[in-house]
Amino acid sequence: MIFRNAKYFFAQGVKGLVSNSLMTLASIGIVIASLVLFGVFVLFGLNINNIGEQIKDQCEINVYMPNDMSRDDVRAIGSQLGELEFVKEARLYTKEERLQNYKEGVHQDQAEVITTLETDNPLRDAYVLSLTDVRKANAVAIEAAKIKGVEEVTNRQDLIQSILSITNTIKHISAWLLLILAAISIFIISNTIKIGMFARRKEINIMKFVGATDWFIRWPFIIEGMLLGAVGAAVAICIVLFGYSSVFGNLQSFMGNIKLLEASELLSVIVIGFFAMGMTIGMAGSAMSLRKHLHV
Amino acid sequence: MIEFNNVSKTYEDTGVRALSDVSFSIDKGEFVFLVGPSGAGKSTLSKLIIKEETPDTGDIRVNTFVLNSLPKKEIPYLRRSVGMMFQDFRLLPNKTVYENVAFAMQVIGASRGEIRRNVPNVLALVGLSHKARMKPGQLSGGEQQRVSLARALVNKPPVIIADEPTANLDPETSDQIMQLLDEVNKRGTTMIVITHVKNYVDTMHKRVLEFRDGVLIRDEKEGAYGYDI
Repeated sequence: MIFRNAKYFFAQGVKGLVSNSLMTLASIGIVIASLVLFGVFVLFGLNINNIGEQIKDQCEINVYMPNDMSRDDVRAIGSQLGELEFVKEARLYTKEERLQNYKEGVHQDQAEVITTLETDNPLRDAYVLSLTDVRKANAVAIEAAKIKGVEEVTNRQDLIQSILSITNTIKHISAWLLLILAAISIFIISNTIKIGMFARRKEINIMKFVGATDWFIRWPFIIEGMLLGAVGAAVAICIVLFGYSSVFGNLQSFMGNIKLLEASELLSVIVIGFFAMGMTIGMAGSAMSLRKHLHV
Repeated sequence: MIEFNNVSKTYEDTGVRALSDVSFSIDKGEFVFLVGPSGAGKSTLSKLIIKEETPDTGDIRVNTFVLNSLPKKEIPYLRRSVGMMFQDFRLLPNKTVYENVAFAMQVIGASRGEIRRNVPNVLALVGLSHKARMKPGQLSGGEQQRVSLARALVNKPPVIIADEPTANLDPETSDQIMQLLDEVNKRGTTMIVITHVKNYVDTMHKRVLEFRDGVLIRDEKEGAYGYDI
């Protein structure tokens, strides 16, 4: 029956939107405002998350050996490091390799510095530890420092912790914001639907006494709510993606090596997420109104 | 077809006892007048038949439906078996005559083909084929009541309840409506007419159920109006 009457329900839903244009605009407006505001937080959150992931990948512990330590002793320490808990891999970078890497990163006009370094290499052999759990970086660093012969241990746990904490805060703010904005949107949409139902009360009354089922009466209002949400979502998607694309270049230039998510990478998340949210909010608004005011 | 057994109904909000221990049965194909002064319980009775109201005590059967145990989701199917006509017609002013009648089929999920077949037939039956494209506002009261009858008939219900169908009509138009209801009844539809018009009850010699203060005080075959207005 739903499919047979889909055209009728859809037409009635559209009719409801058009005949109640002022409230329709207000509802679409609030959905747009809610989703755009939410979208800003989501984009911010996704990017912070992404930055966190990038830094996590770089979160390795550097364990430096004394400059004069023999290579055999260095390797012996290396095997102890490899056996530490949460250490995925202990990779040795000899001072020669490190100097080579340094040379590759140094500009040609600093050739004199390189010549000096080659004569007397001040760099130390170092193990780079990659971890199975980046949150254990501090604990691993402490254990590594306890190994006899290890000269220095460095890690970026504090930075990771800050990023994780910012990501979590943004996630919490986004969730609360979504709840509050969704509640406001649902309230406005439910009022729009209520006005629509009031305008069509005579029609609804006739439908009831000629034997329309409850769902036959409800569907047009639910579709009306979904359309309100969908139109609001469509506009919000355009605003958010266009806005993000236009500031992306400037933001990326501030970030250096850290890559921000491009608008094209976010397209599917934003489009699917916004439509799903907009239509769910619209449906919830309709359902609330139908539950309260339509006693079929 | 319709059976009331010891049915009583009191409205909770006002405390008015609308029906008191009412029992009767109406067979398939009967024509029955419900008479009595305002507030006697006639309209409550029609509301009980379509389960717009629920009795406090007693059993009601309508066609194949046992109303006491009827689940809420079955109510629309009960209502499809009872066509309703009202004194204020209850037509949709923004729809044409054709659309008003077709609407009753559309909302029960009838196919386009069924609608295209049935609506012209029923409009021809009530004599309104030539006004199918007009809006209710362009019709006389009698014509609007015919549309209302066409809408009640279009889903071919076995029972029609007409609640004061001639209340807002002039005598000549009223005669035509009553003739039409009689004709529909003769084609096999059970007809229940709530009325205050003494003349029709007295001249049509149909069964009369008379109510007073919620009590069925008379059930008479080929009866007359029986009380002074």
